[in-house]
Amino acid sequence: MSVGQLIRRIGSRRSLQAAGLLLALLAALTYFRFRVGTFWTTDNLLDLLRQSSINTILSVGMTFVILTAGIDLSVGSALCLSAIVVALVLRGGADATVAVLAGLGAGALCGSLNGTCIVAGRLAPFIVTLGTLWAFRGVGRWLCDDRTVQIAGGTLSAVNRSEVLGIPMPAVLALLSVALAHVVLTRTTFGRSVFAVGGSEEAAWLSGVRVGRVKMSVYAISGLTAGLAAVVSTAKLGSGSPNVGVAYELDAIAATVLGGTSLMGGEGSVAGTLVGAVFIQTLRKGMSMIPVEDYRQNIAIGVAIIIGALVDRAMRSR
Amino acid sequence: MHHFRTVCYAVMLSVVLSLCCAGCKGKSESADTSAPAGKATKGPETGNASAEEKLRVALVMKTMSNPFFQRMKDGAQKKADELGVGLMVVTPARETDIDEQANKVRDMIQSKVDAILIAPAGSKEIVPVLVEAKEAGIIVINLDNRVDAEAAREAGLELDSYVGADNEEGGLMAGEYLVKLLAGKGTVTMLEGIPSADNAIARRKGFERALMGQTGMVVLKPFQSAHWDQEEAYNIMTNLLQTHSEITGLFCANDMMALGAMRAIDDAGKTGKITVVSYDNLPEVRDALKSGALAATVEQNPERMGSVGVEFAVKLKKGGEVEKEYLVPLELAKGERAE
Repeated sequence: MSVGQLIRRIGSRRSLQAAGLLLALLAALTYFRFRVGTFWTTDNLLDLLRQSSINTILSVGMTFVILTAGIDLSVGSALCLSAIVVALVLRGGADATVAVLAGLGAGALCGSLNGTCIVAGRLAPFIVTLGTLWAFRGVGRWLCDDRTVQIAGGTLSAVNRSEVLGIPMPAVLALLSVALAHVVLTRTTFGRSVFAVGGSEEAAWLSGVRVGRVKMSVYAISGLTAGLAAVVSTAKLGSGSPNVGVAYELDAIAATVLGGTSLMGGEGSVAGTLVGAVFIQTLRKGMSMIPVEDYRQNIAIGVAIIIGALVDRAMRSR
Repeated sequence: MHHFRTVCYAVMLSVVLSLCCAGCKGKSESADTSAPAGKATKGPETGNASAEEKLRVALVMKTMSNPFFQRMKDGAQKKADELGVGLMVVTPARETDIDEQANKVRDMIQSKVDAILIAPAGSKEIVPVLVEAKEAGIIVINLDNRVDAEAAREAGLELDSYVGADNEEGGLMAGEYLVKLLAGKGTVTMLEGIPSADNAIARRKGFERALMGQTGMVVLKPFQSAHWDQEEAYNIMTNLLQTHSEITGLFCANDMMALGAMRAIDDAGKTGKITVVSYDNLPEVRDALKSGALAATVEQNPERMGSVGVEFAVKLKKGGEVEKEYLVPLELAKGERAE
């Protein structure tokens, strides 16, 4: 049996790339372990998961969208709008549960609006979500009168600091989103149609997949995850602010693509996305604890993304 | 063949990446500001931070791309060297990224620094993570942009000290000087900073106070925000001048915005017809002050803020007491233009 056959047996090329990224993550963790005295403590590693959680949650939604060969540039702004909604509802005296639902609803509404424009208006996802990137943040700023909406202590802030089995709540939410998305993508008809639409829209349509409905759904999911990320952000910062989430869509795209999801659609996994998000935050955290100058951090993260893309191509041309 | 080339690229880029991470090794050791990992265990005492061990102070700012913060850093570094303190300087990649700044503070808590000097990007958003820092037994001193008092009270956060400037006083100072230069006549407006930031609000308040009762002047409202940004200020000013050519006075809440606005004024051919005052006294506006394009700018001495911050941190760590609030004296740096 040749090595190639063996590799094919172990898994698809995609999971192989995810394994490559996992190795890179371990290498980075090991490096920072020796560079920063307190890096390898349970506290700090859990904090790493906590810091990755917002980007992980956004990236889960982004993975659905990119799997259909689409893109969602509006998630950072949808996060901002939803965070402001959560904070305003809480300030209005409502229960935390109501506020969370309102935030999730606001996010899902944003996503559905994207989906409607893309499917019904037959517009390119890039341009639609570029438009809503501006519009959503604008609406958010309008709602809060361009002022940070502060929430008093309360339940939501407590959520930020609560733990499940020692794992910080934001990280738990992120991991749950990943697990749920993984099941949906690999075990359900809907999941298979997401891959089918990304593989070839026409072939999917010919084989009876309701392409429009699938596309609507993935943008709604992306909006929903932005809403969830907004809840985490509001709990973390104790407020909803017009300045939150600027350029977060780029981090989400980077995590997704590093995690092995093809921008051409049809190939990828949400588990890879999780590793991608944690990898990016590991670089950020490690370098800021050393600390490395900001511009060096920018270069390192940029180069890491390009290396990821090169590995991706090497895997595919094999 | 094709595959081989790809691998080559990947290897080359990996080298660049490792240089980025590791390249600072030599430098940081020479400056002796970080990597306390080995040191803590080598010392004779392995118990809690003893007074003999070198203190470690983290300066967490909004950005390094604004010279104001570079000056603050320089002041802090000078004092740290003088007192033999290790200084770690961290900033988020984007000035407005409040979440990333909170992450940086948390990183410093994990690094177990002795004190954190924080110049918050968001006055309210930074509160929860500062509570965590205090709980970890770290000295927290607020620099420049003030932590929101109400948010701090609600969260039960008590800062060790505040070192900064009275921004409302500065706004008032700039406004009064503008009124004086215009002899109480004409149309004036203002370019604001990030509207939710405490220092931006205070500067606007001060400016508005200066204009109160000036019946001879028209105040063009609402004031627009250029978010401290030069290019945005250029665009806003260009647009404004197309519809409001009657403007004769402008207050910019920082120098970067003033630089953008002055270029817009120049491009509109209105140099000398509009009196501009601003805030920060950056080296970048020196020429503008000389030529008279900028009438005056408020100097708030950021070096002093950084330096006093470090000094206070060391004093507190050694069990001493410091003032709860230290305001750096403000001055008006006036241009060459005759009054």
